[in-house]
Amino acid sequence: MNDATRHDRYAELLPAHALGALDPEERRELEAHLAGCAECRERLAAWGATVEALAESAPPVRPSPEVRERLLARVEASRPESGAGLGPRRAGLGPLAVAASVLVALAAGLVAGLVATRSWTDRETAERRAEVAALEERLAESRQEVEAIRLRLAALTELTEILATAPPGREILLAGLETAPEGQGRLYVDPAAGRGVLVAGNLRPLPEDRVYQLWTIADGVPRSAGIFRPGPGGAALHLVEDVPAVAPDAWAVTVEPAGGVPQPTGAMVLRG
Amino acid sequence: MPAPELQDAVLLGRVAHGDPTAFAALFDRHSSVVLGLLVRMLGRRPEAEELLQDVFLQVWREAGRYRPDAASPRGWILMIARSRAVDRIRSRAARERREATAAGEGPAVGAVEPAGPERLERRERRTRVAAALATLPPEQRRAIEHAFFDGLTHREVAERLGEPLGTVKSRILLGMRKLREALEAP
Repeated sequence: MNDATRHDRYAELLPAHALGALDPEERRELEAHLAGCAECRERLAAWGATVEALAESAPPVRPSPEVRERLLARVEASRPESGAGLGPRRAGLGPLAVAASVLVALAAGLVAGLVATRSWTDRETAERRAEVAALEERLAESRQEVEAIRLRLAALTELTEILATAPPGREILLAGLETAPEGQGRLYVDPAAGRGVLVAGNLRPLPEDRVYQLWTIADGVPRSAGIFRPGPGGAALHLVEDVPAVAPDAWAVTVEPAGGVPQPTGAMVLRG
Repeated sequence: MPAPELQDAVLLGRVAHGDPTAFAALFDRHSSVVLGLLVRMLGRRPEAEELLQDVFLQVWREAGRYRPDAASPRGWILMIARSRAVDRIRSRAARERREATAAGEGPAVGAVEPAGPERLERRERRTRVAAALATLPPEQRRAIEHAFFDGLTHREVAERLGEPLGTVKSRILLGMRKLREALEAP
């Protein structure tokens, strides 16, 4: 069997596959082919509308109100953030992330529209194929952007939360030392929650194999409070995870090898 | 993507972020059609309503997995429902074979309540599907319905109907092509 005939044979299996009617051997064979054939995957997706229509052909039956209530209660109970704590963070993701997913959905609609209007005959032009490919690429890009936006929002939301809940007076200024007199930092801490955030500016750029490391110093003993690298403008935001409940004698920033070190070894650049 | 589908996609996006209000809206928009499918497949309303909850709980948990390029949100939910119902039919069949009861309790269709006022476009679409199904030769239609609503494979449909496997395969293929043409016709 040559390639073209084999392809046609797979195409004939697609409607049955969309219906879920293939026997195991044929299904496995087709799925192996689908894994490597974008064209057949698109053709399969195009059968989706027919199968969906079939699913909708059954007369609708309204569920009883009790079923609805029970279900909504179960969902409410299963919410991971249903207590306090993480609530605002997830809620805060809402609007922008939704806007982004609408964009993705719109782009997907365009792709789906194009795919739907595609005819699988000779009329199909290379141009349209390229359009679809370009749109699919844009769709993939939008998805990545959405993911990036989500991550940034998560970080920003956490930051806002810390800033909003930090009681007044728990703000520590860090001044640049001789090694970096222009550097400066401002540390907001919430000892009750054990969290804090360092906002630093005018930091010097670092070589690849170096990082800045934040320390607490109590009774002369330094403890690491995490590592960070400044952005291109010399500014840095650093979330501090376990802020000691008792205020340390000092906070300091040193330059250390990538990955950080258990005890400070490099030059101290900020202190407060 | 038509407007209702876009709204569904936005709702699903919110559900993926754990928004119960969006989930309730999604349930209200689609539960009647989903329950209709489940009742048609399972025949018993209490069992169908129980499974309806499982289906929507799965939607709640897996909304983040929805891919708009593979199916419409409604289509995605319906396929979850079908697949859960097929599992149920298969385990029921296995159980009934095990029990091998002589006095069989046939699949009793529970009282099916009317679904109340349905949106016009939906009803039109359903009418259209029914009309398209009605244009199929009865043997093609039966083969497709056995495969889809009873969750049978080619081989099982052939056994059920006592027809050769090749005949059943080509009936399903031809019927599906005709159905699709009828649905896509302007």
